[in-house]
Amino acid sequence: MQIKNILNDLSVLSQKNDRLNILNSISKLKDIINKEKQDLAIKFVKEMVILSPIKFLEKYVQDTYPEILVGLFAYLNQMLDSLDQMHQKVSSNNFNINELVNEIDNKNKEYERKFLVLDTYFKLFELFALVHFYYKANQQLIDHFILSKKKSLMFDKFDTLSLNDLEKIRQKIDLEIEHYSKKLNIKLS
Amino acid sequence: MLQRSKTEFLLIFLTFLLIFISYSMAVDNSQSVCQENLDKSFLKVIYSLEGSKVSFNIKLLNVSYDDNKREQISPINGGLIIIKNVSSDEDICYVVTNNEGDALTEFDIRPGMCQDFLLEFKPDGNYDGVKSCGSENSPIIYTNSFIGSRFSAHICAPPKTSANIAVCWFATLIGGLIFAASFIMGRNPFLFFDFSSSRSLSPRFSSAQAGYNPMTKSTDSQTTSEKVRGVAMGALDTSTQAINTLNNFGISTGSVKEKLSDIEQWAEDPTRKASNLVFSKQTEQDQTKEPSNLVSSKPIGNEPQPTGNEPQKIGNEKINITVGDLVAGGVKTMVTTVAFAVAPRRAKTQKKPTLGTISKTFGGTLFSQVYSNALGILKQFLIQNMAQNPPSNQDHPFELIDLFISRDDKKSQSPEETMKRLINLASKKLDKLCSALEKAHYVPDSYTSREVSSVISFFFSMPSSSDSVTSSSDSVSDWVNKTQTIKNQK
Repeated sequence: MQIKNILNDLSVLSQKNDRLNILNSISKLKDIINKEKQDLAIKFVKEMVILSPIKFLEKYVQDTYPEILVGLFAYLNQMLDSLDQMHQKVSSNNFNINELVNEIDNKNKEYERKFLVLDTYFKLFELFALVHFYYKANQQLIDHFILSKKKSLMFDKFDTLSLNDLEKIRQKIDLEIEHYSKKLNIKLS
Repeated sequence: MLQRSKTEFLLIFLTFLLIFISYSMAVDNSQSVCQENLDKSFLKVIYSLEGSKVSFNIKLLNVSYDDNKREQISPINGGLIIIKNVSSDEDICYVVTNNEGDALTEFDIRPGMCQDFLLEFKPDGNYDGVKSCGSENSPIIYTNSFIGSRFSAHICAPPKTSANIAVCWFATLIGGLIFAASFIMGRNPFLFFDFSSSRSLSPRFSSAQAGYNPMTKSTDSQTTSEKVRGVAMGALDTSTQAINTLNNFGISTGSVKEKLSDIEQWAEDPTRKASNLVFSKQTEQDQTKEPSNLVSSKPIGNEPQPTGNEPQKIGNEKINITVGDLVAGGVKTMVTTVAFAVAPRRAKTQKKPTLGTISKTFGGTLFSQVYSNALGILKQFLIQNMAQNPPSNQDHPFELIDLFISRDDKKSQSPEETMKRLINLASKKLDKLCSALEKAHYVPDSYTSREVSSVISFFFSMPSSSDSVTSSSDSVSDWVNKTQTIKNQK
């Protein structure tokens, strides 16, 4: 949301040819994106530390995480590239930056969607971890559970779902997590 | 004539009246049975048996057809399902499906017993006098919407294994005592199974047929102790030869303690690559041992340059395990051969052990041991080569972060402390991680994906006090506590 607001400001400032404030906004945006990169890396490390004791999850994490994580960092880097180009343009008194603003906006939207996809996968892996404890590491029962959930929750299609559908899936996973947390008499978050 | 026609008319009229009334009643009845066109319901039940506990995962679905006569399946929310354990006197109970059409419940079955369960979806939603199986929701009445459905299951709980083992053990003990007693008394215990012998010459009356034979002294010139000594020397020679073979690979064979300290030193070396970490997962035994000469942790960002000795040390770590296997193999060979040599042979049918048969036993056992160890050595040798030659010699974006996490994790004591240190260390190394990832943006995606994969592998293979979580059933609270700590960490 913060990025969106600054992008709106940039559009307005470019019409006014307000060079100084445009450069300030670009700099602010760069800081936010760099901070986002750090937060994303922290999120990744934390999630790996949380999931790593459940050894059987490695194959599921391995199959899903790398492409998404690399994609997320790529979006952030592309946004930074666009900001560099914008900086160069404005520095040379070229205020025709609307195309670059739209490009960053699109990348940001795609980043937010993909971020939600990654977080949904993490939620699902947390559920698998709970089920691991619920079925007392009985791999046959766990595999059966995972197979049925992969089917019903469209595990392989998270990346193609709309935000609305993804939100529905997340609610379903939350309900399942709540159910198994109650069964195990624990509170996960 | 007029009177007759009147009577006929009256009869015809009454007949028609009767037909009309009966038809009207039939129409009324048919309307009361088929008031509306009800949808079909479908009860899908997956049950799993764990010990003596059976879990029912119930899904209640509505099967309908759209205008194009295509089947439409949707969940039924708030459906009342009555569950009855038909084979027992237990009260019936009910569950109510959630908005996904799901309901879960569990029952206990007596071990070794089979029981029949009947699950029935009741669209009328009437559960008067029926207790709940755990559902807190109230059912929705679907009398005019769906047709009910049923599911039945015949479930058998396995008997308690501990009782079986005890019975089997006792039976084996008794059987063993009978056979041993029979053998010591000079009889062949297996002769009872020989159907070819005639009844008149049954072992009961004929000691000769029963395999009785006076005990004779072995004419072998070697005493038992001499045999044992010879076999032991042979086993040790073989082990020495095997170790010498390893030396030819360029691997030293010092004490286990020295080897462990080598491993620790290697682990301390911060120059190893991410791929090395993935290929050289340490054993749990190594992780639990306290290092004998652990080098103190170096400050972050002050890593020494690569020395080029790492692969050799990786080899040491791996072959240490193999040396242990070899020694165990040698001992096993020795014990098997000694057992063969000194085992008492009193029956007529059993031949006395000679040097030839002992050597044959020794050779056979030794061959199987050497063969299995050779396979292990070959595997380790290949892994070592892979570690020496990682798939890519480009920069590894994660090599620094994973390294420090690994190194410091070894020194922390409590699981909470480990987790805090991990997060703190990861945060400190984020600048390098992010710049590396930024750089990775300019190289093909497959490369960076592979690197992320290697980091994931690393975390899952990471030595951690939380490893026990996977094997202990009651450590869910331990895992949850850690998860909460990590999530709350800023």
